[in-house]
Amino acid sequence: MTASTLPDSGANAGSARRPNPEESLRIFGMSMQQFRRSSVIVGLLIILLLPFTVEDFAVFQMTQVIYLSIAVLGLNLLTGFNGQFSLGHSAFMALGAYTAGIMMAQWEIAYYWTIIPAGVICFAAGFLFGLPALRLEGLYLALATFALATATPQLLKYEHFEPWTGGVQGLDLFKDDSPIAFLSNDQWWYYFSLFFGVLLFIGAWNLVRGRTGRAMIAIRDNPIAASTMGINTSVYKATTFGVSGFYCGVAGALSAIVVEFIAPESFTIIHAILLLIAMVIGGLASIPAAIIGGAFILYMPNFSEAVVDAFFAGDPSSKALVWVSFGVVMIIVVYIMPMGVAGFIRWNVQKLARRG
Amino acid sequence: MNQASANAAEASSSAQPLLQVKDVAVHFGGIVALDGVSFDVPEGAILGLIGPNGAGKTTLFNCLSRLYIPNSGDILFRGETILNTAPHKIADIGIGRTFQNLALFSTMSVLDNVMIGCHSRSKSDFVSNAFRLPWVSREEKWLQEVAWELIEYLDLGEFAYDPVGGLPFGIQKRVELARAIASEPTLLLLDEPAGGLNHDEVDGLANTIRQIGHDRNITVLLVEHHMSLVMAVSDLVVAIDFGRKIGEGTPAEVQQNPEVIRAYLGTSD
Repeated sequence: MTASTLPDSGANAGSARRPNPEESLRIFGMSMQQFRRSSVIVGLLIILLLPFTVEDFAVFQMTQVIYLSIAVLGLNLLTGFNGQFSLGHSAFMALGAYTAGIMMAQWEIAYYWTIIPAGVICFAAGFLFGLPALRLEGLYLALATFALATATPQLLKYEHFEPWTGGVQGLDLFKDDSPIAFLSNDQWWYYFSLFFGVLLFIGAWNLVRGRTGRAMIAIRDNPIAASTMGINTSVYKATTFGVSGFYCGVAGALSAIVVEFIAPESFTIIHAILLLIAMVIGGLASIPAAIIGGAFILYMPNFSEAVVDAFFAGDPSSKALVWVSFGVVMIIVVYIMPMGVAGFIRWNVQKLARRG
Repeated sequence: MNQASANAAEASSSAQPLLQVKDVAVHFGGIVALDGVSFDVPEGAILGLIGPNGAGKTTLFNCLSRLYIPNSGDILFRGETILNTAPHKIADIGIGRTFQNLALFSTMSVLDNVMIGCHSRSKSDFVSNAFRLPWVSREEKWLQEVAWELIEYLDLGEFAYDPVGGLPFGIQKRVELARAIASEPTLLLLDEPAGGLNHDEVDGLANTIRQIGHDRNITVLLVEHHMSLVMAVSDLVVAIDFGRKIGEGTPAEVQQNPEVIRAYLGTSD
């Protein structure tokens, strides 16, 4: 590598392009690139093989982690990368879930045809919502999206929509069993969801490391300068809102298919806040962070419950303590890892690598 | 561009200046920031715009990059008005700028900042990026080449991967310059490039500005407080005060202009 031998002054124009000094660090005897590749491969192997080693209910939970991660990723594209806040992403998940649910329950369309339409409809909804949202910034945008999140469950209960939505009762969904003999139903839904998850994660990764991603981040960092550089900030912001909606729509459709039931109460403001928590805990503007965040909001309530049960078993008022325990864990995580879990991991890897 | 075509371009445009500011006025409520300023910037020139604090220099710049809309008057670029051009199209038509108080993308690396400077010269979008089509990878490679060329041109190589937010002020100023040139502007607007720089850095900057104009065939409109810099690099100088033009000419002429002297030094009466 020439990096270490180049003089500091760098005055000689036309010299070879410098490699990133961070990239020339070594960790566990590997280059950073090798380390990153092997982490991804090991991670993928674990994700692929895990369903064969655990019981069905655990597989079902992991499937939930997949679609929650997709939703968190969608939110992170909007907030982490583009700087637009949203407290209303439960609404896009609801729209996706109901699109899939209505297609399956009312029109008897096979479940696998519902994913893309749900995404496309949510893209359109996100884009259209993103247009007026251009005039709102920061807290005001958060309020507008908050309104979206609170209105959506009410709209789903609205009596004139009942023939489609099933009103308060929601919709029970039926679907075929696993088409592959050696996979249980839960394993099949897991791989079905994983397929879309992997595609969407690759898509997001491609997006943020290219011209579009740079423009998204530029708008977050300095919208006026971004516009001066020739970036059409309105189009980018509205489109990012749409893409974010697409991710949440697909996540919502997967949730409807996997859980086989949708109801307005699954998509309340609490759900939107959980997505926000997942994004912050995982790490803003990080793609793998979405998986950590998704896992956090799925397992954390159960974990909190287990903790509370261990200490206050039998106390009828202990249910209320579950959220307290959840909150305490959250504060601790944010305090120890201000950049989220992903940021914490990245920081430690770099520290290890610098040490040699 | 070879010499012949350069001459041809010059001949064809000699009839009209590259930029014409015509009677531009800007009011903020009751405050008159610009009160009918007119001047021309000939192609290939370095024009220095001077004036005391609050004279309206930055306001004029913001009109040129379409951040403000003049209340009256017109701005012509290559003979055509830019007042109907959207702000994000200004880079497309060939006007680049830097900002007085730095407007970098602070979390991004120097390399990424300069690559964003090429935004108007590249075209991959959401869909082609998400699928990373082969031509997107090629475009990305090309963008990196262009950015690296500028990074080395402005001697920023050792900082290329550092987030700009953490770099010294003088380096950040150079990054902004690189980012502005990356769009290959015909006209480059520099808003107080020497602001906050130390003496040596200002000397270096004077050379850099002249070189950019010469090497890359860029016309420069320079707003600056630093008199010695303006006088050293400018072919022409326009002086404004209280939103009005008070003098115009070569640096030597403007320095002799009694109005300009009065604006800067005040009068005894």
